[in-house]
Amino acid sequence: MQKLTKQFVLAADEVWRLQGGFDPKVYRERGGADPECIAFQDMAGDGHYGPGAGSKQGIYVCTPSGDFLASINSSRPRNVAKMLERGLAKWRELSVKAKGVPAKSAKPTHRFEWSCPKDGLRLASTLRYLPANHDPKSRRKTEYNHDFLWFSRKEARQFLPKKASVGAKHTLPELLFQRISRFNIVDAVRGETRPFRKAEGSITTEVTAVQGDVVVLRVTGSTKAEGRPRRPGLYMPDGIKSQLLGEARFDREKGEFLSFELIAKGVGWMHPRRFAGAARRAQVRNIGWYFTLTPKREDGFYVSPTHLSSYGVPWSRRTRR
Amino acid sequence: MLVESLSTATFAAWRDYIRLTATERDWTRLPWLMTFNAGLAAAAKAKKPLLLWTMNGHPFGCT
Repeated sequence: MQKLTKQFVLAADEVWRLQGGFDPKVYRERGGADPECIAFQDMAGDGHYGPGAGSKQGIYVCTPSGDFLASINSSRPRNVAKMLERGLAKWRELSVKAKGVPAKSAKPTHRFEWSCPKDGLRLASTLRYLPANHDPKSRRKTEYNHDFLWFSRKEARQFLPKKASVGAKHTLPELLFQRISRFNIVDAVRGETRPFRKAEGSITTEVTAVQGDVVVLRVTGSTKAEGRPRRPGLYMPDGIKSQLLGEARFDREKGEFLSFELIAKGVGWMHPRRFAGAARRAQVRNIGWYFTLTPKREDGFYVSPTHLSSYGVPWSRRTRR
Repeated sequence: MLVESLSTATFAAWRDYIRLTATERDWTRLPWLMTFNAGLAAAAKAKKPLLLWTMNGHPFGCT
């Protein structure tokens, strides 16, 4: 497969924005005209799900000008490899000139990633189901997911007590607490979910050491959130409670975190109900979330947190680069 | 149990349980570009076809 992928330029992107929501036709009727989205819709309309409404997620092969060659939505390597071969066969039929024609215009007019606080705190999270016996030496459960969590430079400073002396404690402002617990301490292990409407609890930082300009913080806290999803059929537990523990090092001279590690270990519960047409028994799941600094990228492009548009702060709605 | 099992003593063990293994990270080592537009531009420059992986939620984020 790796030998095969070397014959392509590889790109990944979020489909819902590209397809303009549920129905690309409605998107255009309502004036949607983002060139990147239009280019995708024109291309994907020839793909495995056709031009109608519904998700267009999958793997596509297209020319640099955005002409469709092949596609599939499958996680089976064999099927994907066959599709890539089909795409390559069509590619080889093209003239040398046609192969180098760029897309007329696919420059986006807006991406949520443009709101990224480059000088702020950008955390990456991994979430995974935990063993029922609470033993971390147990066999690792294979389902996991990712997300991100952003804070502006000013918000990042709010993790620190006003006076950075050993023993000083500080409670995280409510806005930042809610952002972590409503949007990120959710059960998205098996796929995107809705945020909670409100969470209870608190997160506290305590200065455990001061080493020149570097302040070492111990992070502790607890969260509890309850509430059903507004959209029927979307998986979401009725509630999640968690305990938090972590450590971070902040450089006061640079005004940035040098390291940040935080674990939330919790439990999600769901009462009996019908979900996706089937009766579901009551469920309890142990879930773990690990937060750390997002590695720096050379291209400066950082995938946005899922619920960035719900942050409710001006910097998260930036529409220009 | 919830409280006792996350402590300074068990922090590293839980971190290693949750975060990705080297094998799980394998696919991220490929030279992925992060947008459709960036992919089209790079494909034109390289004179190669574009392989676009697109999901509900960005494949490098929460899908």
